[in-house]
Amino acid sequence: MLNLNKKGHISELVGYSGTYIGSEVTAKGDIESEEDIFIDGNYQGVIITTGTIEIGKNANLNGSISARSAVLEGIIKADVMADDSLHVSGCCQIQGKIVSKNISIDPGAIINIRASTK
Amino acid sequence: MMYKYLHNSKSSVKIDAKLNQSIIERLKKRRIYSDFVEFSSEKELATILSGLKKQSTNTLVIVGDDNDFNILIGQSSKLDNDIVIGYLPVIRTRISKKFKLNSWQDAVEALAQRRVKEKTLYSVSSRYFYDCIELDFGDSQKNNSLQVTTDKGLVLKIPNSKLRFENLNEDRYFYKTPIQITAYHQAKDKQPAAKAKLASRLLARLSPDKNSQPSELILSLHSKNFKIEALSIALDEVGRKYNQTLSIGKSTKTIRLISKRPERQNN
Repeated sequence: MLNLNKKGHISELVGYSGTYIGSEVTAKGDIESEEDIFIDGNYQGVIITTGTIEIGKNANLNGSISARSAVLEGIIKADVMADDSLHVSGCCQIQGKIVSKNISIDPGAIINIRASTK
Repeated sequence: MMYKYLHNSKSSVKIDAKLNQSIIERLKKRRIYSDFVEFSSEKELATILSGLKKQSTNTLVIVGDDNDFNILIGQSSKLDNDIVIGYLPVIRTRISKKFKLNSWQDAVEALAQRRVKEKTLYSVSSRYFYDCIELDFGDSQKNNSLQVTTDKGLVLKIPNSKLRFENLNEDRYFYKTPIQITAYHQAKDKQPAAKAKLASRLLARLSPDKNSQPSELILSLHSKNFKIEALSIALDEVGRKYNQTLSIGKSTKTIRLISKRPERQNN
């Protein structure tokens, strides 16, 4: 997990070369990448990565996600497919379909999902 | 070979008489003809560059720091393709590290070896830059925002901030999306001592200006090119103004650069 400060900004960024969309950013469109992705802002679109995706607690995401692994917080209205693992944390509100080999959901998460393991 | 050495009299690094003499002696020892010329503005530099043909100069060497190097690159549209550019950094800088020049003595050695490599420049609208440019769009408190569009059509709205465009990957391998954009706020408050180390490490990577305050990242993304639309003009590291609509990407302009020969590995 990335180290975020109170405002949700990355505070230890030395050497970070992945994709980061901070809490003050609004984005619309698709991302196709081979890197790790961290989204903490408003995002609408399709995300495809062979790396890890993390959705932060300030995020509001609408669309679909395909990644190697996923860690989800924030408000998500999307279908999420993660090859290796998918973790829904306690502060996440998610609506959609989730697919992964390993799915874990923390207590407190608000979920309206259809889940299936590969 | 006709070498001309350019030094910006307003550079943040001053070259005193002793250092100047040492450089001249070193060049003499390596049998490189040295002709030092000072300039104090881009306009003055442009006049010097346009007079190069008459003087049959074929090599220009900028003596100073990265800002001075970038000023010369910014004027490279005025240079003929056969002119070779060298860099003699008097302090250790980001670009000097990239060129593997640990000292000005190293740079003199590279000039003597004269290994020339062609390099394609990047451009922001019609102005060229080597591999990195930082644009300051002003204060985020004024509620102005920027619109950034990538080559794949991703549209991002971000608050006014500093934007840094850097090619991080091309020298290592061919990369599909060579330019990384990073947007960050310049923090105004002093950081607590514990954070100071982190902040300085962050600055070393994000900001070439050692005197600027620690910063907070709000965006990091890769693309082949970017389009920026802003409500305010931007300033770069050396105070040049840029329009509100900008295109950033690889240009078709190439320059010929003197680079250091790789050191032989002893088995």
